[in-house]
Amino acid sequence: MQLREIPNGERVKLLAVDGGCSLQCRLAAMGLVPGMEVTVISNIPRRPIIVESYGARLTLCQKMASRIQVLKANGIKAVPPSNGNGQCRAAARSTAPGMPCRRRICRLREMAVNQSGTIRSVKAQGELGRRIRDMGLIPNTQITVVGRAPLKDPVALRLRDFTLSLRNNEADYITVEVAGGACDEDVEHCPCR
Amino acid sequence: MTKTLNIALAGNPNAGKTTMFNALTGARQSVGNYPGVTVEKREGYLQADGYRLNIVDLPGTYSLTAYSQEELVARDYLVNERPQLVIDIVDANSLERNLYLAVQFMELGVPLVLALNMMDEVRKSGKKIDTARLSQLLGTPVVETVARSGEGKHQLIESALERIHGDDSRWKPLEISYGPDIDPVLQEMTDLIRGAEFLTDSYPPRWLALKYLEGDVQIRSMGARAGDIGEALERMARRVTEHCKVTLDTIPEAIIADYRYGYIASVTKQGVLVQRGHQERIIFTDKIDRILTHRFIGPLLMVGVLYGMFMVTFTFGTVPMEWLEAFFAWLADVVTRLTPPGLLQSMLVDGVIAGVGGVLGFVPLIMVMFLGIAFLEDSGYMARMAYMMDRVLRIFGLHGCSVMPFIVAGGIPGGCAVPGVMGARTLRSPKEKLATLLTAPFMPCGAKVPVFLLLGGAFFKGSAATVLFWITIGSWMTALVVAWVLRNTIIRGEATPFVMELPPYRLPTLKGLCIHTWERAWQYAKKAGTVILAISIIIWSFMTFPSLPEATLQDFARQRTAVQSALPAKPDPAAAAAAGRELLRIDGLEAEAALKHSFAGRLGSALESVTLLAGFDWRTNIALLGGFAAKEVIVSTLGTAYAMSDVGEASQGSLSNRLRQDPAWSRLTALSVIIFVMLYAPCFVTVVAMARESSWGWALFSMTYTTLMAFGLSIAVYQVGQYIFPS
Repeated sequence: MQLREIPNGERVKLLAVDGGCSLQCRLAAMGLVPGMEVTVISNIPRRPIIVESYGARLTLCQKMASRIQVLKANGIKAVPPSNGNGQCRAAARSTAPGMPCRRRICRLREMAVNQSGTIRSVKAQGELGRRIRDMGLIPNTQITVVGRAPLKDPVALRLRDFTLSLRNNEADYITVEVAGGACDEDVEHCPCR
Repeated sequence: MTKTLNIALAGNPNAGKTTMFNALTGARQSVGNYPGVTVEKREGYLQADGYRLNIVDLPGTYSLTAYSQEELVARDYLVNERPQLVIDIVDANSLERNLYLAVQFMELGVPLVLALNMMDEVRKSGKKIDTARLSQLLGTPVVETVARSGEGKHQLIESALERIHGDDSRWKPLEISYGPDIDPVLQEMTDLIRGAEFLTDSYPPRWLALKYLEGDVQIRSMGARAGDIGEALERMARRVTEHCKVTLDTIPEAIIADYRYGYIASVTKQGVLVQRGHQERIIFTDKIDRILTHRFIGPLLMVGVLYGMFMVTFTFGTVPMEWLEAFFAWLADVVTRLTPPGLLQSMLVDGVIAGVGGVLGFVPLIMVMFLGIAFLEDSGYMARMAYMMDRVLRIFGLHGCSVMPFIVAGGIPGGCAVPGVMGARTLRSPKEKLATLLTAPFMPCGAKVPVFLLLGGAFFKGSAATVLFWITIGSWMTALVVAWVLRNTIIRGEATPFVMELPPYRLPTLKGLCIHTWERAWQYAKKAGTVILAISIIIWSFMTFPSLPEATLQDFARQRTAVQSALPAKPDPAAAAAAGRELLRIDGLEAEAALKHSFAGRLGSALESVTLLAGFDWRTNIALLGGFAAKEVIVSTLGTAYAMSDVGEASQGSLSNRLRQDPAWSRLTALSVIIFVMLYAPCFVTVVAMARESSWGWALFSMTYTTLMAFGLSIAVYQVGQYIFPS
């Protein structure tokens, strides 16, 4: 079955990726290779899917998830055949850091709930900039998006040991290097489009 | 003679600063869990070791810049008043962010003692803080405290006294390296400042130079007044800014913040802070938040909470309110019996007791309401409400926190604008707060509802609920649209940054809640004794003087005697009842004549030529003028003006009949009056509350613009209506 059909909390094993080398490489770079097990953390229709593997959370768009074939973990007997991806996996390993299809830096606004990352830059100036910095939002800070208000704005962040919220147009001044994949359906550069 | 020592309490909002202040001084003072409740400077006293410690509670701030009012207040106090010591209350749960402020105190050089607060939560969470090591690395005493239980407060005072008496009690600014891009020019600027002795008696030179690089508005304007030195510093700061822009694509301010946090990290990483996993409280808060701020359930729960609070307030609040009303009715009765009839009696009973009594009657309501608000604030839920509502309210130039004042003021019909306006103080952003203050009184408060019910019942054959529903919708729309217009005209300006902490949920302490509630209710009651008393007397005299001429009075007296003497000698119940009705009718006519003759009546008649445009005759005018004292007065004054001697609940039906039969009233007139009452000037108690929260200028502005707007709309509706449906 497809990854997008898996409900929250289910543990599954990756069987294959139906897609070109580009998509396979990209997923491999994120650590998603056939044979591995992942847990679906959040799967809401029309929202990015969040999966966890080895403690890292990755975000995938629904379209991408529909191309990933999985098997429910409780029924797994043997490692299913991998879909001719040997070459790709190797390629992914050697080119991962500078791969053209990998987009890891994104604006804070584009991050999905439960996604974590490290702040790369804060471009805000004046009062807003100062307030942001006073709260400890400075480069190299680890943050996790913990929620969005009912209308998706403002956004709630966890950083260091506390939670704070800011509006999306304020979050636009902050760029983040996300842990795992950066894919949100609002993002233009999603490789699966 | 005991020596007085000045100690300032400073720290981040929500760090427990105010709780510590209460624990130390036992003073009455407010505690909040919502960022920035304490805006005023508060003082308390404490005797220790033969000293009198004068403790000042500075507003909670995250930093010492000059952007927000709170930060300026705190900074100016430190620099101008030069307290012997600053106790920085640090929330040990988020040590690094809290140390950001501490580092700024140290750069300013004030003698500092750190109080690591909420250590109980830290210990439970499995995190470890090496206090001795922290103290050694920062070179400042560090005390572990738990403000809620008072743990560590004695050690805190001991350390403070020790520090004051120690050898290093002078101001010794900390110098942090800001890296190769900033340091050289910082040194250059420092030398220049020292050489020119620019403000060096108040501030450390290096700190001044740093503020120039950070673009501090206050310091730069001081420099501009000083002349050459200011210009030279500006030039140097500009040079660095350009250099940073070109080479690093950033601004000096950001570099400075980075290095400050870097300094803090270098301290905490030397074995001061050992973190293990996530804190229990944060996990617990996350779990609650998953429900309370859920996309669908969250807003529903919020409506439930608001509605519940509203019901509680007006269910529990009205009981003591009725007691107070009964008490004032009894007092009026006693005064009537004790004083001779005449002007003095009338002033005491109808002016003072009715006016002040009416206002004090709100006190129980306000106390219950504020108990609710204080609970929402202290528990941390208020911040979540702001978080959920912000997207909608921002469209209209308001803030997420504006929802509370709106609801309380009557967003659910039956509220009261007074606590609503007072509730707006939880807004931290000045512009949004002002817009909220100015629009919250549009909401259908409990005193306007009887007017709507009366007119709705008389002219619109629908259920009262339907009428009220549409009025409520109309009020909300007006409030939001007007807020939008205000924010785009006279209160124009960028939205204040929303960046707001979502504090962990905490169960508020009963003591904190009581202090909080009591303080606000007391502030309100004090007003009743002063300003409101004076205004009551003015309004009373307005509706009493000049009294009817002697001839007219005698005329009414003659009519009464005629009725009485016409009674047959034999007791006849039917005739007696008829005579009683006739006497009441005459009383009513006399009251009507007196009202018409008074200043208010004359004003009402004089305004008639203008107000007829909107369909208001002189009777309506007087009622609406009276409504400025309190909206409850509208119905009773209409009654008097229509010579109904006693318009209580029971006789309202007859007033509505009377209005329906009056040729001056039509559906259109009723609609026009409803619109006017919905929108015109808030009652004077609200105006006083508004002046307290902003300024008299804004309060007067609110009275004027609302009335003009209401009148304009009423005219428009009435004229267009007459054109479409000519009668």
